Amino acid sequence: MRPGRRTLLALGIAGALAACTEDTTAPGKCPGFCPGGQLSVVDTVLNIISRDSSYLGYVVPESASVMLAVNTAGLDSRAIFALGPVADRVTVSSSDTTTVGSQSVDSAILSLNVTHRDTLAANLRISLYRLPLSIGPTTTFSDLAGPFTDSLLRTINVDSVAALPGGVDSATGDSVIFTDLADSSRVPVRVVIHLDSAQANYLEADSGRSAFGIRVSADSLASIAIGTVAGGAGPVFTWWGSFDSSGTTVTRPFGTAINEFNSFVSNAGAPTLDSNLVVGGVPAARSILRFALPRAIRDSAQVVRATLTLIPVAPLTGATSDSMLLLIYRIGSDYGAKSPCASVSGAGVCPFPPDSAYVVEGTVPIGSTDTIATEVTALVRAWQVDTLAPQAVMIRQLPEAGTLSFLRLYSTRSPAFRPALHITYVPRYSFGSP
Amino acid sequence: MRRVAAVLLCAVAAAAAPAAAQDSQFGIRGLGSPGNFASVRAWTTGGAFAPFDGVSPLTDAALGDLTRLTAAATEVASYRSVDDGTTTTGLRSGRFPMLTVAGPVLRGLVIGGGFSTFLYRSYDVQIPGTVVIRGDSQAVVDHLSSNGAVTDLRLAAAWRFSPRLSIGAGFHILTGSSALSAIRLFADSAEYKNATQTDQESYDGVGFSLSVLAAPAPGLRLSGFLRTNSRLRSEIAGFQNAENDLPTTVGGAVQWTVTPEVRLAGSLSHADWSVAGPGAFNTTNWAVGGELGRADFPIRVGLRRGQLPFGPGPEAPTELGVSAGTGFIFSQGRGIVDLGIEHLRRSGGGLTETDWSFLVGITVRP
Repeated sequence: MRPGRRTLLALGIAGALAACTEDTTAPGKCPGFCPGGQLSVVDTVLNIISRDSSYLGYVVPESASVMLAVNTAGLDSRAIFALGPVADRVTVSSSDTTTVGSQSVDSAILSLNVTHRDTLAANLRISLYRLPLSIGPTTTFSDLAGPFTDSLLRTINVDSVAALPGGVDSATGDSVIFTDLADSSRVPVRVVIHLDSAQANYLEADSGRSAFGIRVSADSLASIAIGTVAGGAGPVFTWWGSFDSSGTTVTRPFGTAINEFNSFVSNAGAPTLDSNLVVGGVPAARSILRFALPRAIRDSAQVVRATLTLIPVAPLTGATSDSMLLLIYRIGSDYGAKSPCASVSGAGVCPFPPDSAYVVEGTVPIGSTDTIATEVTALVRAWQVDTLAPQAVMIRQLPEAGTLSFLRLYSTRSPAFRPALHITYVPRYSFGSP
Repeated sequence: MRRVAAVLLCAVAAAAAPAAAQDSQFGIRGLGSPGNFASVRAWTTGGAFAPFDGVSPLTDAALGDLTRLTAAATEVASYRSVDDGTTTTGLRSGRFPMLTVAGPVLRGLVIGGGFSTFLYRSYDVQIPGTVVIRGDSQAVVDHLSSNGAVTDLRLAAAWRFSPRLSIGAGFHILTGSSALSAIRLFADSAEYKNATQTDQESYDGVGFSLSVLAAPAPGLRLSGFLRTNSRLRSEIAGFQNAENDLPTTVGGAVQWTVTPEVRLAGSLSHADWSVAGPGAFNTTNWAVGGELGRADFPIRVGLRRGQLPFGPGPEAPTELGVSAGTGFIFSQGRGIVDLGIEHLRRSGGGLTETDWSFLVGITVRP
């Protein structure tokens, strides 16, 4: 073959190969050069909640992830916790495994994880009280009126200590440390309170068992939440004593008391059931909404936006910072109050936001009766994918028993204000004839 | 070099999509854009040589010219420009629109078959707009697309009564499918999720063809052909969504071999596409072309003009095409590579479409 013909052949092949990638997208000049039919959007409010229910008793204070200490807006809540016994023998030398008993108990250190507080609260003070060892799940607010009056051990001004260099009060040894430096709001803090031997009051007969209570006060907005063992951040109480080490007296921590009981008592009333839905409060209430998504939408339409609208019966009361965080999640099976969440693996591990196909969050501000509108688009679309799954959501507070106030929402029994699904969808497009 | 070129061409043919060759915006509103039943050799003569070309699926009688087993395939790369009066958009596609296998089985009897694209149905239309949802205006962009074709599977036979007369007949099965999608994209994707709907549309129908090829005088050949079809049924998810009549096509052609190195042809055809439904027009198409030079390195030129069956206006859109090409023979004639280029201009309804197509054809005669 001649060189010229080879070039021509190569050019022809190259031209053919160059179009192996496609681009067929062109602006439509409708209707003349567009397919028949148009995509459309339907926006409607559907009263498709077929049944709704509320359940009480979840979660009780001693099972909550926080202990509430509140003193505002007529609410008074006090954290209480009991600590277990400790052994008072330690090893005083790293080369000697022999243990020795304490000569004296010198002091104790209490560390509290404050997970929630109002940063606008001025002069926030935490007061520590000694309580009787008998506190337990049946202890009420009035039962502890006496100890909370006459058994004050210490009071620490959180704002003052936090303002000191390093957040440490060198005179008392107390400290306030911001535990989440990435949190620009600087809400979480660890409050460390030192007790002298008299305040700590180690009772050998009880092996150091003790119980304490916490009240808060402030110029305003006195409301904090303290971590519990159930929440993974319970109080830590460490005893310090003096020990004889070969004729020399040394000071050692000799035991960290085990939390036996974390709870709180308050003057707030527990939520009650009526014709409305109830969420939150102490013990926590939960509600279930069961939907009946029309088959025409479920099977054929493309849901582009879905908003769950809930209307409060009355505004939430409490400190401004006590806005209620609602958790709205798909349930995997409808067993009432204990319905499990729909989980990714099916192993009962509940996904958390932002996995919006399973769970979404909504916020209810204090004092507002505005409609609560929560985007549940991905959640509704998930019902389209799994048509056998229960079309139901559980609404509960995050964390449960995280605030004293509870939310009362209109139910399906109030036709004018019932919960509704505001849904925007694209109906099935008819591709028409070829 | 020849082996390398042959391998490359085979790779091109194998990798190309088995779908339309020349998609057109003019087919979106109707059933599609009709196919070009021609091999690259015939295509580059404007299609005028197709009635006389044994590997072109236009007529069956031409199979009678094949004296040995022959297989041919075509690959087309198209670069289109669509001008709607306000914007011009460039498009491109690569297709594998035709395969023919044929050979003699008895003295005078040649049978063959293969596939070709009957209707091209690939497009992707992008439609911007604004919708009012929940009291606010939302910008949206709709994508309506189809990717596929109606394919013509042909089983044909030709009987050569004498060197001067052949007749042919073919049975055609119309099949194929298109992947359809309708997508609405919201500019505010945080609030509104995109909507996507996809479907698969399948087609079925049958057709019959008859043709005759005569050589009344030395160097002169005449062809006549007829093609009729049943209705084209379309189904989505097993349910029929459309049924359309298809046209009957009649045509004729003449070829004149002036000298062994000068061959000329012209053809004329008519199809009553208006039976397909509203917005469809009858079409008349003509083509003239020539093949000049030695058989092992010819120069081919062609011109075709005609009408398109679907368009938005009161009249059928028109189409004008100019083509040129050549061919290379390998291995003592056992392999042929044909190259071509065609420029098309289609206009109607306020839209003008131009197309540059690069054609590669490979013919194997083992």
